[in-house]
Amino acid sequence: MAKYLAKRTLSGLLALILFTVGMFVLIEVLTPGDFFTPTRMFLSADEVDALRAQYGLDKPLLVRYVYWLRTFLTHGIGQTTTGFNRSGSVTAGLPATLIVFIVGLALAYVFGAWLGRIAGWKRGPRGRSLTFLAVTSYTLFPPFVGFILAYFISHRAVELRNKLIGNSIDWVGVDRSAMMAHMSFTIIAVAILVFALGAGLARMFGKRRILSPLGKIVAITIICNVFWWYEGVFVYTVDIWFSAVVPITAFAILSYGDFLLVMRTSITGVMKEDYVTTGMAKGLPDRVVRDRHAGRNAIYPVLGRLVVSLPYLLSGLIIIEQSVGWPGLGSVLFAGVISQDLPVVLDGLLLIGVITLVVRLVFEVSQALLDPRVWRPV
Amino acid sequence: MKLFFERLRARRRSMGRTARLIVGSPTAMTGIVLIILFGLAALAYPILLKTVWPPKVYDALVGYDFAILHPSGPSSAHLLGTDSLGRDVLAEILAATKPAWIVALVAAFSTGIIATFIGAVGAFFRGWLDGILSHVSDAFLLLPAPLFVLIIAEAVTLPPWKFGLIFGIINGLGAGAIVLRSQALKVMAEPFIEAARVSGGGGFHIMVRHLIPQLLPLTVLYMMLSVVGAIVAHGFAAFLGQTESLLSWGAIVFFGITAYRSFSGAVPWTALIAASAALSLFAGAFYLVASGLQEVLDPRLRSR
Repeated sequence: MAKYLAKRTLSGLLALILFTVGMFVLIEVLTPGDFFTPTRMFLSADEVDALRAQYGLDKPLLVRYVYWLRTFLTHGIGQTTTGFNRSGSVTAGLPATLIVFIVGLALAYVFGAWLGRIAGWKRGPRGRSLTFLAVTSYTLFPPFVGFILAYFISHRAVELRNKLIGNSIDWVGVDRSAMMAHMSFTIIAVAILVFALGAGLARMFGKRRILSPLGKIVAITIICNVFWWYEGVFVYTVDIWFSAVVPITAFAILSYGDFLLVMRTSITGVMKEDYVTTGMAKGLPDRVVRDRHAGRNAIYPVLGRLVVSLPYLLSGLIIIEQSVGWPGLGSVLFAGVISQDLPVVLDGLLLIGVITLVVRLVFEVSQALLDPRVWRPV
Repeated sequence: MKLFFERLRARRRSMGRTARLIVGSPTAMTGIVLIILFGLAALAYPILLKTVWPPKVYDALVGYDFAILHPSGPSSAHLLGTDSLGRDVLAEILAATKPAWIVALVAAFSTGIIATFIGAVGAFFRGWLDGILSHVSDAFLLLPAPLFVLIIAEAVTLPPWKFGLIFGIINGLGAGAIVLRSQALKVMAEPFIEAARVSGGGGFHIMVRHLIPQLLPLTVLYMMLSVVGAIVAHGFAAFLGQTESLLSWGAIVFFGITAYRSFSGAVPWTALIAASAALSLFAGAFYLVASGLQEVLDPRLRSR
């Protein structure tokens, strides 16, 4: 197991290094000019050259890559070309992206898997229309969805917020981004707690489970909100939810289709298994066989899909952020591109790469733990 | 010579079977019909402008109808209404079909060629070459092609063919190469490859005549899927004002939203809905053909 783990980690690291080299070279080749190109408007050519020399932009490509790598390894993310530390702005974009990602993905996954089960179980007009719906969501144009949601939801959300908590929330002295980071962290921690505790308690009492998936989601929501109330930040969280409703909904609408389609294919594969026939023959209700017997075994490809398409989901989210004007990782990334600050862009992309690789590694390890055939030498 | 004709006949038979299966599948047929319609739309705009539509009113970029207020809803003169600048929406939609086709075709072929080449070479030669290629593919898998091409488009203005090319290269190097390599490995284990080797076929011959034809259906499938991503990404790039052509569906949506927010107050609904629908239908058509093709290729799904 240790050997397998080491091998996977090493290969992941190698991919990451190749990824950064590839990005560095491609962006450099495809976008002419550099960070100091705009300064040519008010500086002479000699002065621009001097600036370039000062910050090492006149060096060959490989040398600059090594410079970037060295800065990254010693100072972390967010170092700009001029050595100005923008890690604040790179990491400030992350929480806003993260909170939309967590909640939107949970919504998309739950709805996608649920509708996919229905679509796969009953082929025919209803299943087909669900499939077509999923395909539409797959090809919908993000800015249009963002506009529709903003047009129909935004002002209602603001009205509702004003009714609930008043229209003047004092954000003075409170860091919005830090608040979002805190919220994401709370949600993840509570989710882990609920799932782990649920499994442990179920085993203690000798039951299969003590809370249905829906019950778990409700429990997570209640615990999180009570915790925020206790902390005294409840008003701020409500404010954030109301402003995040458009990106979250857009993200969920635009990404549930993928899960639906995979779940549908997966469940049609499972339907021919003997235990489904047995369940039917026992006279169990259709829904029980679908949800408890077929659905449970069909979930693995969907989870695998989730892990594989993680970078696609993240980049889709960045696109959605840009179309509804949500200040997340996307705005940092695009600002870096516009000022041609290659290090910042690379750091943003690297962040996506690292998140993807870590999740993939965790998934592979958990799969290997579940099924020793993956790593045990035959 | 006789052998050649026999082979040709067998190939035609198998192709006829595939064609019948595709025609029999409603999903694929819907997609094909839509694609043909979009092809006709690309041809229709210049013809209509020369014959029926007076260019002063119907030119997609600078046309203006003085007779009515803008933006307007559907009417007999403007079947899809006009946008906030008084341009005919139908003319805009038709004219914007051309850049979309360029992006789609270039992205599809560059993805297909690169992915097939890398997949086939990796699976055929194995060893260190395969190791390098698959690690490179793994690395490119970390970066989705839409995001990368958007980043490039943010810095430099890309004409449609270049947009498609960059998208296709990234997509082909990453996900496409991985999918095709695994299929090529499967094909390489088949007995007919060994037979070709025993009968003295060289490496190039085996790759071109035996391996790549077997990969072709999957390549086509992957090309279709890459079109879906490329079209949506191109629409989004146009929405951000990053493409060379002023006419594209994304630009129409962008302009509609901007006009509503900044100076007019009236939402040009027909322009917004028609442009988004055209973009979604165009991408969706390729997706439908791809999923129909998948059903034909995967016998497990065929009987259903």
